[in-house]
Amino acid sequence: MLTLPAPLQLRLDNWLHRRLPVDTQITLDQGRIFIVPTRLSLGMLALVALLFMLGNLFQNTLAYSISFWLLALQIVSIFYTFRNLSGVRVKPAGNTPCFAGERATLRYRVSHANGRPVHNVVLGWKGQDAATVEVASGGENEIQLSYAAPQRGLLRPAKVEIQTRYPTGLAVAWSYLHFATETLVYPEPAAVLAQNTAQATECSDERGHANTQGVANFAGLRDYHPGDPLRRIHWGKYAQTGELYSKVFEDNQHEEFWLQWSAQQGDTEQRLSALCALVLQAHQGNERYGLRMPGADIAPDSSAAHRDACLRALALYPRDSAGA
Amino acid sequence: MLDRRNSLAEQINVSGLVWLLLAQLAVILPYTSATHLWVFPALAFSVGWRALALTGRVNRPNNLLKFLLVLIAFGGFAASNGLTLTLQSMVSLLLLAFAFKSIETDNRRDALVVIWVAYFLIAARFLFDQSIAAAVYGVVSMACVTTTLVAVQNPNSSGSIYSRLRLGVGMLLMCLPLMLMIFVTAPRLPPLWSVPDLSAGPQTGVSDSMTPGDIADLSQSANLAFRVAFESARPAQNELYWRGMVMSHFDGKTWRPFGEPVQDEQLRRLFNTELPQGEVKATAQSRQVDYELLMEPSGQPWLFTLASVSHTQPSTTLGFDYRALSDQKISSPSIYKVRSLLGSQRDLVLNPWVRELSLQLPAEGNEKTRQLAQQMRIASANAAEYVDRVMSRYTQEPYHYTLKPPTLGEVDTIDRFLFESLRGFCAHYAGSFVFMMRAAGIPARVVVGYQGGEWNAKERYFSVRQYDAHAWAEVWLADKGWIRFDPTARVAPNRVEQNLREAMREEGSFLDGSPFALSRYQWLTGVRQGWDAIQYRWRKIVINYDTESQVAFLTSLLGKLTSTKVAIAAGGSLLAIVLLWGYFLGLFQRGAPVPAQQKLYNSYERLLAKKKLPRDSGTTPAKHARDAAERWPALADPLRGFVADYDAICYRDGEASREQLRSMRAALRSLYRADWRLPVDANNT
Repeated sequence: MLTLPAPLQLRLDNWLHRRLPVDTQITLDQGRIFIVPTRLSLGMLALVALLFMLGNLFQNTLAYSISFWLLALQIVSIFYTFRNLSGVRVKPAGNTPCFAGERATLRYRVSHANGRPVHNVVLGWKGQDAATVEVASGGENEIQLSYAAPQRGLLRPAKVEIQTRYPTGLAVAWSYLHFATETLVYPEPAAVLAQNTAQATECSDERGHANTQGVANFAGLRDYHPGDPLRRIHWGKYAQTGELYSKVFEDNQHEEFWLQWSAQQGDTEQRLSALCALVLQAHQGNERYGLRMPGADIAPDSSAAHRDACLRALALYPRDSAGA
Repeated sequence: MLDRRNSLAEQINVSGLVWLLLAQLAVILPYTSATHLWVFPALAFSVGWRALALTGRVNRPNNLLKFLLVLIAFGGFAASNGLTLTLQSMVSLLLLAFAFKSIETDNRRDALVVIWVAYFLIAARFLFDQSIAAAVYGVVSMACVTTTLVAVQNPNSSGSIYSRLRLGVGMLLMCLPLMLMIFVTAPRLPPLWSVPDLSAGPQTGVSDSMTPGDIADLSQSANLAFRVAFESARPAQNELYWRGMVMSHFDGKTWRPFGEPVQDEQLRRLFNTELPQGEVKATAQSRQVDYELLMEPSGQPWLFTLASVSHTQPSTTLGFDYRALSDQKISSPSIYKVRSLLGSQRDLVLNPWVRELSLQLPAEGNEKTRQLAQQMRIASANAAEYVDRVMSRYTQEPYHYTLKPPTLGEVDTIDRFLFESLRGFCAHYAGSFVFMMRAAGIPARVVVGYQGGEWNAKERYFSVRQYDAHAWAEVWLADKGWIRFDPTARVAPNRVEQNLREAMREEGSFLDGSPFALSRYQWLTGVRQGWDAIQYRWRKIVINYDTESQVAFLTSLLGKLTSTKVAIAAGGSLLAIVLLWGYFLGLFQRGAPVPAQQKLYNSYERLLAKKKLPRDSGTTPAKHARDAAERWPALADPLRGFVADYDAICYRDGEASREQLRSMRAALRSLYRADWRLPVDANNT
């Protein structure tokens, strides 16, 4: 579609928003579906005109008939295409948070209000991602779409465009789905491991008692499970047996530490990135950690829900208005 | 629009390829009879290539192969056609392009081009043939090509080959009402500009020269020449002399219209200026007949009319020899309305140039015939008596009417026929008769056309077929003008009173070269006539649907035509068609009715979504309401109450009581009116 000048685009968006209100589940009907002939239909009309000339110049009734038939096909196509989108029901089916710079995954469930089959319907965003969906008679289908998440925070994807050219491609029916979906985008985890360790050491001051990781409260060895941190691996045992064992710390649960906003360096975003990396690392290490930062004080825990709460707090930390 | 940048380059799937191949075959097949022979290797190659491509054995041809193919095909085109532009050669070119394009079709863009050309070729086929069979075949091809369009446009869509056919055919059927409406109402304009006559199709029917034996060849064909519907009472069978060509020049072997070849255009100019048709004078016996000629394509301009034409439509020219020429070669079925005055007097005064033309004989040859003519003329008191004597001579001598006459050699053909073989066909009799007249100084000429026709009582028309071709004579007598004489009628009265079949009953030679011609079998007459009547109606109603029949038809539907009436009728039928489509496509179908409590809850959900608290699919309504109550403590009561009612209806009672709905409505109303500002400043950092 053509790009409009900004003020016009704004007015169009406002109008669309009024016309296609936000909803939790959208069933497409007359009021929501737009339909126009496609560029291909110009080709069809040219063919119709050509055949009309053929009929006229040679005064040939049957050539006229083919011309009229194709014209009727062009018009009937608009109805068929409309029908394919009419009654289509779309519902957001959850989404998975992601880290800034990745792509958020959004799921939508597509079905038909009357249980009719739905063919060749495309959902997506211009320049982002699009997927084709087919729904069998009386069925339901779920699709996943990805959406670029360049910044941490709450991502509100633009209105989803849904369109179809089924069956002839001579007409295109489309609509916009305004869902009130939001997905969390966590800060991008700081990448440098060396820095992490340095920060981790700084963090250790906050534990209340200084000790180095993996020495105290050593409880024994168990078989290595994929995902165990490297520093838990008992390398001496590995040298003896050639097999991997992980060290188990019995009272790890009691060992708590705080990840501190104040201990981080750099501007807000850098601090958030570093904290994000630390949260991930600590969670992977199955440690009890808390998060202390302006506006949030999350008591130490080690559950996945705790991790998510920490990441959420990081994601939603107010953005510097001045720009550090 | 969503990104479709690469969609045109998208590959076609197997079902699309199968349908492309079918469409290609369907479109090419009927052209086998209408195009040049050399096109077929190219067509066969392209179909074969597609079939191999389908099995995955070949892909796109490489450039060298493509170049060679194009070179061979267009070389063949230039060699066989000499680069003249005819309809046939244009269609051949288009077919070649179609074949080559389909060889390398593997993406959607190419497929669409092939489909568009296929649609065009379906229509172009009708320039050669507009019969019922051709129309039925056209419908089948339309179904094929439309299904291909659907298959190509939805490569990822599920669905078997058969389900796509159902959709394609369904769509075409759905088009029919609108197509018919457009067909009936669309204006039929005269040709916007005149196309050069491209129809180099074979000429059929009587030719512009007559050598004895020619018409015997025609008599082996049961093809239709034309049909005639009489508005007034039909004339008797032996009055049906359909005049086509008039032959005035004899070179000793062959009869021709004039001494030198005359182009149609020259002839028209001659007829329009120097030698127009003479006056048609009514007599006591003359009778006026009005008829409609439904000409089959003949590739020739002349019409077949009864003598003599007193009135015809503007697109025809009448000549001094009382024949009618159409302004164009008849290359498509067309209707001519003619009025003739049967038994009228023609040329009481003979133009000297015409007299000379009608007395022409070669300087020498056929001496015996000339002598006989001299003797008989001397023995006769006047010209009329002489004519009678010559006519009677055909019955007195043992002349025999046959479709298998012996050959007569190169010279003195008339002598040989009259005195030696005595066996001949109408051309022999007419030729020898005119020769006898001219040898005695009486102006005479040969007329070639058709005689008789088969009456179809059901639809009230005559079918005149090629085997009805006939030749007879016209003699000019003082005070009487031109009079028709048919010596064949003396030898074989059956031929004129009934038809060729009866005349040939003894010899058994009627259509003996065409075992598949239905006309050969008399016991099939009922079936044949029924089928012929259907074809006649097809021709008359469908193929010849023009402005005149359009006005007549619309008037019969609507009464006197006014623009308001037509607009209302068109608008009304369009509306009816759209409603019909909506009904058949299920657009008026509603989903299962939404219960009242659900409608209320949906409004509530929308309201909360607007207030930035949408319900996730994983959250129960109760939990959602608790969250909301937490955020807006002032609204806790209506929120909780509303959802409690909703939950009770959905999960306990199953059905809503009137009180429940009333309280839900009340709660919702209060929520709509409520102050939704957050109690504390939401600036939680």
